Amino acid sequence: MKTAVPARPHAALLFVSIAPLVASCGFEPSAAPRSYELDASTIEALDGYPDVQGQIRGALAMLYGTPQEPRYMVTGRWLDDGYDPNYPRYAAADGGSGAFDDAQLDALQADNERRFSKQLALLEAKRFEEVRVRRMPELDAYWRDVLGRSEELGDGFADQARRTFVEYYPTLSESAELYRRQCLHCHGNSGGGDGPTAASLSPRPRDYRRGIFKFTAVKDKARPRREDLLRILTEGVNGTAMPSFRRFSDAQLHGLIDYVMLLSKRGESERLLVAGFEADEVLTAEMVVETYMEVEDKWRAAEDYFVAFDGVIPEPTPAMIARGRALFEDDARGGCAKCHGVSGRGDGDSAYKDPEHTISAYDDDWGHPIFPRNLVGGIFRGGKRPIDIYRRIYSGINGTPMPAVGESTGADGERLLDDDAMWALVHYVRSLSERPDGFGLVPIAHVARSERGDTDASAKHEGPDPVGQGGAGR
Amino acid sequence: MITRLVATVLLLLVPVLGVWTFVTAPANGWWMPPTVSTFGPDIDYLFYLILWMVAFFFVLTEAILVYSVFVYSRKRADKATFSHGNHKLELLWTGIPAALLLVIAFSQMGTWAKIKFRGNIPEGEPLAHVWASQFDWRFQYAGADGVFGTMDDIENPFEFVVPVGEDVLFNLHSRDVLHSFSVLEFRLKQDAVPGMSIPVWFNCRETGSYELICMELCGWGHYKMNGRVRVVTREEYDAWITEKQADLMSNGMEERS
Amino acid sequence: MSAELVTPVAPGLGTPGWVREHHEHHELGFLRKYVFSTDHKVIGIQFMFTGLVFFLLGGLMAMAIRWQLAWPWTEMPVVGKLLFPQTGRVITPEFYTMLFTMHGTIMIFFVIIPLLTGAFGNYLIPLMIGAPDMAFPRLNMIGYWAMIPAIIFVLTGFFVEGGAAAAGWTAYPPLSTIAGQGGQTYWLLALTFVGLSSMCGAINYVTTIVKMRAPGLTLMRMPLAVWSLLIAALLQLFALPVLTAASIMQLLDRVLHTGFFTPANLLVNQLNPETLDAAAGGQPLLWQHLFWFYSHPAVYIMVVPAMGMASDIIAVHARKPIFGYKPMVYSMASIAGLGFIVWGHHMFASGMNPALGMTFMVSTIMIALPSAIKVFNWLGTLWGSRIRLTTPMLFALGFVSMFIIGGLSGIWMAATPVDIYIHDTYIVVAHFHYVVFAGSVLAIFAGIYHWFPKMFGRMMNETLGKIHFVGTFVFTNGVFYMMHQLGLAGLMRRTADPYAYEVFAHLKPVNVFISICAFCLLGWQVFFAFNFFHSLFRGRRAGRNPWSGASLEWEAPTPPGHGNFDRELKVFRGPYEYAAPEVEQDFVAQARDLRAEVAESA
Repeated sequence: MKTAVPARPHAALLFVSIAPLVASCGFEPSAAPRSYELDASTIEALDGYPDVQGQIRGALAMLYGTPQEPRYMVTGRWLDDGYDPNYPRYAAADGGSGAFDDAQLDALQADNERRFSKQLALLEAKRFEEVRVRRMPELDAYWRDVLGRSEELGDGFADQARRTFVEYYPTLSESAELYRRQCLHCHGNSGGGDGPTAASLSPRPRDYRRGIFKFTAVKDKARPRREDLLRILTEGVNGTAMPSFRRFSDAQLHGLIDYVMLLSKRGESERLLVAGFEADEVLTAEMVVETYMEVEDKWRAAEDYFVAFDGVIPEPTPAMIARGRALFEDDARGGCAKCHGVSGRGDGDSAYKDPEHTISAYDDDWGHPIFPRNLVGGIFRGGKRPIDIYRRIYSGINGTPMPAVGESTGADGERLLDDDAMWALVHYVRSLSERPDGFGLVPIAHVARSERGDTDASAKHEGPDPVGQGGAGR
Repeated sequence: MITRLVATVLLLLVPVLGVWTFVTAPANGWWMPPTVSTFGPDIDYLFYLILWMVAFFFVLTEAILVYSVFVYSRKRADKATFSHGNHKLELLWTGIPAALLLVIAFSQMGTWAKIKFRGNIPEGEPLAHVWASQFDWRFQYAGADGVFGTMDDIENPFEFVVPVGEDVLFNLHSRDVLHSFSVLEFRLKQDAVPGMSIPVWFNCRETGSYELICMELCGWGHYKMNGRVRVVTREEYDAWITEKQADLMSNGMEERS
Repeated sequence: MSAELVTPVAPGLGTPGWVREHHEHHELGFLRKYVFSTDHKVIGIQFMFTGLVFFLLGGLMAMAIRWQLAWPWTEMPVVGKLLFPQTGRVITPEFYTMLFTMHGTIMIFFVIIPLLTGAFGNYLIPLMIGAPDMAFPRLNMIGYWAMIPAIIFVLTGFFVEGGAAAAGWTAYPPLSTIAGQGGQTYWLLALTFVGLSSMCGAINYVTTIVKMRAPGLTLMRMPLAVWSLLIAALLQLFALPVLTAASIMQLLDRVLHTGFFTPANLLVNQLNPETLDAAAGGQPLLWQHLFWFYSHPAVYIMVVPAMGMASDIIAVHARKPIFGYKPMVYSMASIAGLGFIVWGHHMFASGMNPALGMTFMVSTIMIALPSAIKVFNWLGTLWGSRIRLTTPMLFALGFVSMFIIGGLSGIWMAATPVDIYIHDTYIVVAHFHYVVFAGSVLAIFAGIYHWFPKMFGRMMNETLGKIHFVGTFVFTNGVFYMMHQLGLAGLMRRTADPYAYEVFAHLKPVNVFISICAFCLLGWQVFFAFNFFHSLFRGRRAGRNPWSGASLEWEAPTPPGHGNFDRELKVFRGPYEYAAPEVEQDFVAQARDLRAEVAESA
């Protein structure tokens, strides 16, 4: 049995074992580069035109950049106007896109001061070397750059240092990286709602590429406002896998919104370019730029379609709720029960092709079967405030068969539902999820539709509620 | 010779580095964050009680091991001590650890009862119902009518706002799978079980924001199912509730840009 | 082998049938001899190779896990390129949950339990008790081959829709019953077959040990390895049926939509609403009770044989009897006995009645006592001994050192209020990896180095073995010790990205350090692999008793043939008569007839 070992191999082994530990200091791997993919429908439509596909790809890359370096191309007209969507924080005509008014900028600043309070305190105490930002490598790198230029900046250094944090706003690349880490695995590399995790989710993650967003405060199928998207990020979408992202700072959230908007506009441009090519059989540079600016304009105009109620919301009295119920069940006025069912459980016959209620009669705009919301569960994806439900009824839900009832007129030219009627409906819908026996928001189980219980609305929720619906793409 | 040295050094490094990492850990932040709840110090006391006892036996046994390995691996021609055991020693090292373990066991009971037993949970209606779901936290407060389940309930995602210095009782629910409500600084943890409504309480003594962590595997999003517990003064809490109630009845006009 | 095989059989059992077979001089073909063999030694070695192959698979999964924890959402080598081209070669969170689920499952059910109870149990028991084979050789063979459907099921899980099981190796419902992973069903089937395999083994071990000991080998003269395997087998026998029942219940919940574990009124975002068409009214906590009723004894199944083997190896290489043989036996038995009434300590925060927390706390804290007694007895064995620092001894000493850490860290978790903080943090991960990896695996290595000569007739290379020990010991501690600190900082288990939380952002350097140590640890095993295979063919030939061991397995030829022994065995003393004064050598073998020798020389 050999027990004696020459010394040199031991030393070599010791070195071999320590070396990786030492060498690994500063080892920072990153993700492999990606590129935006064309939508499957684009590839299908341009099946015989591979060169056109390439042209569209190239055009989109020129207009919107890559996932690593996203940025908008600034057109001549924008340059003249001083408009640059790459810098939403700055005013339009000032080389920015004017996405924020003064109050919002102040709010952003206040939020940054809260988020970076540790760093700001260290700056106050002049302990510059100790200031670090974890988990935000781009900001950390920018700060180090500022720190490195402290000599050069001289007196202005303290101010610049403070502004680094207080006026922090992520670039599109930073936001793209945050998107990659947080959102991509569900929403996909190109924002198509087709990330790997999406395959196991119902409802599916949003496909941004049509510019269609369901839960907004705009009407007439307009693009969402920035605040609408912010609301989705801060509130989450209740009843889906989309959580609240309030753990990020407001600046980071706005940065994400900037990037999502870019993805959405890119997708829309792609669709319009394909449609344009199919119509004219040719793809020109003018077409490309026109489409690009047209898409941008639609988003800029979102605020014009804002929906709110200029007045005091009426109280949810029993009389109001009773009136709401009547409107709900009245096919000529509200028409809600046709799809949502008399009980509000989403079992109205009009929504289904078959009496067993297993096959939906409608698809959403993304081509997937869609079922009416079960209103009894207390889970409203776009929010459960009265104004949220008002907006859903008033302007419908973009992308779904839920119609905009608020401005529809009857044969006599009068509004079908006046303000009082609208609020009566809203209060009735909200009352469906009341749980006087205990705490509300009892979730609804997905039970086989054939086993659905009674649809008599008067027999409202006694005990646990077994009724619900399943299905894809609601 | 080399084997003997290497073996001794390696075995010696165990208690040396083992103790050293624990001693330097707090300075590096690799330690429990300071506790701010009322029962937190009790838990910390018990933790340190066990830590010292464990550290003592750790060093003792490892030291004896290292010593034995070093001394008795020296090449000798004679035989080992022919011993099959020592009854007295067995009794000693059964009795003393048994007594210490019983001390540890009994010292835990009071604190456990204080935190978890039904009888010790604060009386009255819960402040909120907490809903855990894949992968979000939602906090439901009774509205102006003080009754849960009515239309004026406030539902707040992500952030649980509670008053400081008061017993906060909440009922923990899950919408889908097991989750766990855990706040490190409170030394608080309770699994959320679907189908059960579990009363949980804490009393936080300092205002601040504390990270709420889901501590039971709940699916792919388990790693990011964080929330926040914001502990504020009673005045700030009341103001926040009022603000949320106003937001609930908002007509949307202030959201115009 | 002579036809005149001696069958040391206790009165009443009669001559086993296979002995008659051998009297027929039936020469077995290659398949019957080495593949479908009923010989316990072959079966033991089959388990060993299977276990080691899965060790590699589980270890590679651990490497992927460690990569993600050190550098989350970056390009993962190999895996990223193969499986995730569209995300920039970054794994998805659901893939990560699948990784740690399968890592745990594979390590527990396809590595440690097969290696300890399957490989060493099978190989050592008949040899150490002087029996020619197990009581039920064909049942034994079934025990190994039942692992094959288990292996097929567990691997199939990776290829079905939704991927392999991803609800943790603990498979808590409703996550395991409602989620989309098709692999969970296969996981349950795999576990059922593993259970079948273990039961076959357990029945065999208990019967063999009770009934087939050589004359003179009383229970209190058995080596501690045999005691430990007997105790582990009893644990298997009484605990496994509960897991099997629970697995079947969960299978029914998944496949037939029964409602054992699924409560009513669930709202889940997943793609298969049919799986939610469950009968409802079930209790998630029920699964936890049933699962842990088995899985807690399971962890003792994973540690007690390691303790037994370590005891034997220490005695042989320290040339000294085990200190306190009877206390060692009783403490293993109490660990097992107490092990049946501590399962609730996995559930302190689960929502079960807190009063149960009290009772389980007391029993769990008390279970530290027999483990402590064992540690003191090992130290007592070493004291005054004559240690030979061979490779098996180094690993056995490493086992003792590491087991001290693992055992002591358990006390924090046993203390219920402290467990409120510690539950589901990395302290739990540190604890069980210390006992199972730094403990049992080191003991397994010790066992392989120690009994390799007997198994294959060749010695493993000592230099390589020592190099293997040094690296494994250093890197194991590098990987798992800092996890105590991570857990104290509150880092939770099963997280795909620790730094998603503000409070854990500063833990990245620790995680990077651990991951680098983990890569080195896996890489270092190349010394073992090379040594193993090289020695199989080119190792120095071993004699019958290269370590001068006193127990019965060293009486057999090296390697033992069919029927194991070539002379009639009678046992005269305990297995640890090292340093006995009555003879000149420093040991007296168990089966050595001193009186006959004296009579002969007279």
